[in-house]
Amino acid sequence: MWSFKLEAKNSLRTKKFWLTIVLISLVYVIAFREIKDNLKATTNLQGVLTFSLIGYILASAFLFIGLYVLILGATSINGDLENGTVQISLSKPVNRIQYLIGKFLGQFVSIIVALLFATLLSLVITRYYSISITVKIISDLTIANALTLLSMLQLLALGLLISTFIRSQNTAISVVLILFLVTGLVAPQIVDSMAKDRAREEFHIKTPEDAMKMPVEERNKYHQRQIELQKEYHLRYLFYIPQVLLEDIVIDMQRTTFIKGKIRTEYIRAWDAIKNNPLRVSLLVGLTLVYLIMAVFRFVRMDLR
Amino acid sequence: MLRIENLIKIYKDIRALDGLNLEVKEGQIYGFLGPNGAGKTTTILSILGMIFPQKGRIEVLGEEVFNGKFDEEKLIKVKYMIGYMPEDATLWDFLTPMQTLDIIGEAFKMSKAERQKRSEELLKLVGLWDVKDKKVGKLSKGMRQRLLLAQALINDPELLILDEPMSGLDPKGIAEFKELIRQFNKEGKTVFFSSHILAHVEEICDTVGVIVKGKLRAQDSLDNIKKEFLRRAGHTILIETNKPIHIDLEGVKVEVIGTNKYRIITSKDVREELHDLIAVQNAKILTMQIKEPSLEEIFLKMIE
Ligand SMILES: Nc1ncnc2c1ncn2[C@@H]1O[C@H](COP(=O)(O)OP(=O)(O)OP(=O)(O)O)[C@@H](O)[C@H]1O
Ligand SMILES: [Mg+2]
Repeated sequence: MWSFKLEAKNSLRTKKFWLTIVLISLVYVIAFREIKDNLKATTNLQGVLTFSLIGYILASAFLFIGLYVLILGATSINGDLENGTVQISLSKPVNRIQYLIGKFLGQFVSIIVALLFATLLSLVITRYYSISITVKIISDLTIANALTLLSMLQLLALGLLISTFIRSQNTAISVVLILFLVTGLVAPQIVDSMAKDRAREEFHIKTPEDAMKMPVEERNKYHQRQIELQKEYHLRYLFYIPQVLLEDIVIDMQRTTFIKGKIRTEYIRAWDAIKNNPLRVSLLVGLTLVYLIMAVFRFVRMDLR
Repeated sequence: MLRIENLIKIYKDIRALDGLNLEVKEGQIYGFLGPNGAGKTTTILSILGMIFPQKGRIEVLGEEVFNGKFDEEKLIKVKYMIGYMPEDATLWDFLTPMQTLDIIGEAFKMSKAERQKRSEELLKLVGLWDVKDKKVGKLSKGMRQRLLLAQALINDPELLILDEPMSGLDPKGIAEFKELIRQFNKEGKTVFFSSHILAHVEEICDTVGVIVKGKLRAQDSLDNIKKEFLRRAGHTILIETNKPIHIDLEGVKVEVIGTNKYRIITSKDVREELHDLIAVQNAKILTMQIKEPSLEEIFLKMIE
């Protein structure tokens, strides 16, 4: 696909891409310090480390790659229209659909590079703590990365769709920033507090003291129910926010059980977390396809000027 | 080579093309002339399938690419034989002229060796050889304009479509550009280019189409357009006599523009009759001036 090569080159050399890389590095500077404390408190070194590293990949993805990807997507078609390159490209024997998909995949390359970079930093940290890099760590990190990639792909497709609707790049960026704030912070906050309210109701908790007075066993149950409800509500109200879906899948990589008042954290293989969340994974993939098809549909009948 | 029939394009509420008809024959250099907003770019983008007209028919290089809707397959097929230079577009500023031509050659599925050879040729032809490895973003506007032309020629097209190609070029650039077009045309290739400046098309085009408000006002050689204009608008004769006269000739309009000065507007040659008429009134012609409108004036009149 002709436009693939062009776009891959293009997206790798933009300022926003390099800014993203720098910001990811910053996340790992923080990660480095935090992991040190976490490791002190545990005997399950590998498990804790893997889980924290996955956590940091996700954090850098949510915070920076996600924003980068949305902006990248949201300024793609309108950007080409603004500078007229789309007219050059499509005056050649290049099909519109191929052009769009090639562009999409080309932009995807820069996301892969950014994620690989984040993973590489994770592995460096692992080595630093002289924890041997096992097949398990590698495979778990790979799976976490693949999942992250899926959700980034969804954001990219959404951005692309937005770029076929909003003619001005600057307007599109503002829209995307607002979208990112609302879906990344505000909406999850509201939904989570809804879930907590519901849990309180179920356990007849009216004041914070009520919770304190609960027997330990009961309190653990209450906390577990809270998490359960949150995940349920996420699926119901926030199924279109890939970060939220992803987070809920990753939570399942760690199982916390309460046995006789003692908290036990087990680390499950990442693959099992995927198997336990088929609906979430299919939403990650499915919505991407929906956005992409909508973008293609718009693009092939658009006046390009 | 190119035939457009009854093309209608409405953007929301603006009728940009209002039943446009035009025909470009093989081997012509066709100047597509019209004021700003007349619909030149709209026409060109329709030919290339970049925008969707509501009605009409477009035939390019023997293929009916549009008849109410575009035929995607035919469109791709003819694009192999078309070169297009857009109006005020930028190319990818992170590539060099060499890389730009290379990647565009790739879109035509040219082999690496072919692309290399053709890019070299073209860069020398348009005078960009010295800056072939400079980033396009760092080139001057005129240089970018030349690169835009070069990219349109990469596939050695049969039909070259240029949208305001000479804007942004200095006089030397314009002269070189015209020479390039002539060279290209000598190989039997067809050129279709738009402009709102008459001087740009004057010496170089054999046929001119004038578009006004989405309709074709005239389409002919400049000579014929002029004759036709004179036939319809008439010649202007200015005379000065030694005493007041009265002119009463059929089909002739007379205005008094000063003491014993008259402007006579006529569609046929009335010089002799005028002489006789004035002699009969015992007057003498002191000066007689035949005013022929310049092409520029004709063009301005046409687009009014
Ligand atoms: N995207 C658009 N939306 C709405 N109207 C448009 C759009 N593009 C062009 N027009 C209108 O269509 C008409 C024809 O525009 P067009 O660009 O084809 O003219 P032009 O002859 O190329 O002019 P110029 O010499 O300025 O390049 C104009 O009235 C213009 O305002
Ligand atoms: Mg124009």
